[in-house]
Amino acid sequence: MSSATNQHDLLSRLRDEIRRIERRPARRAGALPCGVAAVDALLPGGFPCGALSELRGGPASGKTAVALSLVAGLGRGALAAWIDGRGQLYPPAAAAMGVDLGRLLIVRPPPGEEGARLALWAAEALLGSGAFAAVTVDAALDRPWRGVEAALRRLVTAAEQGGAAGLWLSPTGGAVRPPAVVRLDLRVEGRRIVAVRADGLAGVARGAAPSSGVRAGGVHAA
Amino acid sequence: MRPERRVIAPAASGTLDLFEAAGPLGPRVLALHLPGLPLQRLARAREPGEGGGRPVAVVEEGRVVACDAAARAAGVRPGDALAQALAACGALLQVPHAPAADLAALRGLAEALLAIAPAVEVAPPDTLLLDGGAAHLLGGGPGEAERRLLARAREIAAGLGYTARGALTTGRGPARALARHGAAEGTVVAPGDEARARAVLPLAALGLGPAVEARLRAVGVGVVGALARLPPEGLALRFGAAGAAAARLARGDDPTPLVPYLPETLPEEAIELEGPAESVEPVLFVLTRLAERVAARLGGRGLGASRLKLTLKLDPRGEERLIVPLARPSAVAARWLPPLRERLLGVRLPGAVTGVRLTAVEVAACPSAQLAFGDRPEVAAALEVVLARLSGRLGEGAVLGAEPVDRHRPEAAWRTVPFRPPAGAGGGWVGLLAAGPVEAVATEGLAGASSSGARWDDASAASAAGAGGAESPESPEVAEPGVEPGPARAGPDGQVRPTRLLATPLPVLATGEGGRVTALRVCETPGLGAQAHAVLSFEGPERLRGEWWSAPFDRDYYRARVEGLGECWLYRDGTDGRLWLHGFFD
Repeated sequence: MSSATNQHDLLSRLRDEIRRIERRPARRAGALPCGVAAVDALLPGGFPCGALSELRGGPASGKTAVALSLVAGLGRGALAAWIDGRGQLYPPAAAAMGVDLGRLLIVRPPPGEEGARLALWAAEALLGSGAFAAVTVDAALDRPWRGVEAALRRLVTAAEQGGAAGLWLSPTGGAVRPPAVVRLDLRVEGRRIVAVRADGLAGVARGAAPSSGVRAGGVHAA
Repeated sequence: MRPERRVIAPAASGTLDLFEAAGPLGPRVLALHLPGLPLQRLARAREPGEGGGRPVAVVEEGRVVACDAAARAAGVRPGDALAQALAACGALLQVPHAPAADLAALRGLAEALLAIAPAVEVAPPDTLLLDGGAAHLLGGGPGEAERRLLARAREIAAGLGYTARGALTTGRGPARALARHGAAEGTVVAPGDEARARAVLPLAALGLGPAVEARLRAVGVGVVGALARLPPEGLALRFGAAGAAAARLARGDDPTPLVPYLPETLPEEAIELEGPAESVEPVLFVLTRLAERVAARLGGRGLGASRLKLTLKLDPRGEERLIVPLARPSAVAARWLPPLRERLLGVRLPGAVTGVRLTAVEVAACPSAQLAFGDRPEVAAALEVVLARLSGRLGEGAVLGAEPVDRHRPEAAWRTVPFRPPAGAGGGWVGLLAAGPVEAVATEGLAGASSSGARWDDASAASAAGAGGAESPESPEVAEPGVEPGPARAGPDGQVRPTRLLATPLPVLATGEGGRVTALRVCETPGLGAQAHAVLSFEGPERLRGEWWSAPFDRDYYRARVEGLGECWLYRDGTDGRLWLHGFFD
């Protein structure tokens, strides 16, 4: 085992010990499958906890549905949060997909750049709180501002601290992309969701075998 | 059951041998007397040390009603004229008498005492009467249980900032008399010993007028026991109704029931700071005490706060009001403090704080719950903290839960509600959040969703995963065919709804050929482009109309697959025939 791995394990143990002393929620570990075969096929185990994952696609690419499917599958009373920066999430559709609306916190920051800043701040607070199993961020970051990269990096730290699975929904060609460990490009072909994995850093970040290039998965229509 | 009177056999000696001693002639009552209540109320509404240690006197109509020990030491006595008192003590701090505030303080304590007694009567000006009939629930045998009840009542009073004397005996009147004039540490009179306990009380305990008391003293009657030995008929003849009542009270004959206090207002507690506080720490220190007091009052009523209001009195005038919503109703002060603290730290005060008031502005029934195995209270605290932070910075209206509404108008088919996650069936959501590895959580979630039929392509998950494992990075492959996995999900009534609904529908220009829509141009659409998009499929309509009584609508909804946009939800307005884009099946 390399010294870097030893150091990582040691830091993890120390973090857990500090959490125990501070009586903060225990950090989650593992991954959350979303139940969409096209996506689960690409992500063995599911979306990682304690990290950010990016779902990118057009206005009707299936990214919202993938995130809602993950929330619907949390089960056992776990809570989820949804930062609805665009104000477009339609809760009746979420309920139809099996999401328990009573356990879904929706945060709707105001529109505009100030709203986008608040959305990032809220995402950091929710990811780092330890109270939510999954946090979806649909921030209207149409134009980057100075310092947005630092704010996005703080999201990663917050996710590591809180242990939540963070899902970042990006429009195609979005100007701002978070430092995610999993990146999926989504689109709908016919009535099928097609997911393409494009995160060369995923293996490095998770400590597993590095993967590079683009992998694709999907499901044909019946 | 009506209590029976019994006669104690005459003893060889002592004061009880000549009169009929009372048995249990009324309910068992615990009287809690708050000596110098106006002064106590003033002291608890201030930080210790405030007032610079000046002697304090409560004044009404130019006369001293009550004064503290420092004022007494300086020669001030209750009943003195104000001028006389000021002559004795020039540094006397005069506070106007406020009977209404005293009554409110009594009622506040009564609310907290409801936690240990089935009924509490407020007996102004300074006494509370508790039904002692349920003392046995505290355990420890008859005598021990009543002693525990007395101790618990004094403890609760102390928690709210009051010093109380107590007496537990049979009957309201005797209990009240014993509490006011009995031992300072409290008295518990066992059934059968009431007469002995009453006998030594001064005549003042019976509430006689000074003239009657003086006449009785003149004939050698100085204590209650002596009065009880006199024939009641003679007392009634000489002293009228007051004499008859005093005779009954002296014999312990008071079967009147308690008049329970029913709280009607929400609890509120306030403290004035010693001096203007520039930083948050003194406010937080005071807030802890206030939270404990409000929580005790709520807990006594079986309620929990779901929304708190923190009012900060500013120097020199004005106030700052902070609303703190709670995710779950609670009467535990320790649960309120993290969100209160977070809310307080998140606000920039326009001035120094001179006083703090905490009010439970929204309450709900809150039965006391026992922690289940695996429960993690720290997760609940973390949730309260993050909700307080979000509400404080974004506003309460931006942090919400959703609830379906049975309406046909799509945008009105849900409404916002406060986020209050329900308690789990097996020990509450608190413990379920971080009870175990997430892999297990997710697996169970899948199984549950599969049985409900709400999940996507569960049947194909295994085969798809297999295909995913076999794919190579160089030659992208698609997984095995599955069931229809599109973003659109049908509701329980078969309606298909988009996952994203536009708050403001966008106008659409349609191009048709042969009665079919072939292309769409979405107007006023930043990011979607203004060019025409080919329509690949067009399904519908689903007609939604109604609400003629308020704002009628008539829409034909279509599900269109549009090149470059994906699946869209469009409607044709029946009133003018125009086409609108209303959502995306994202």
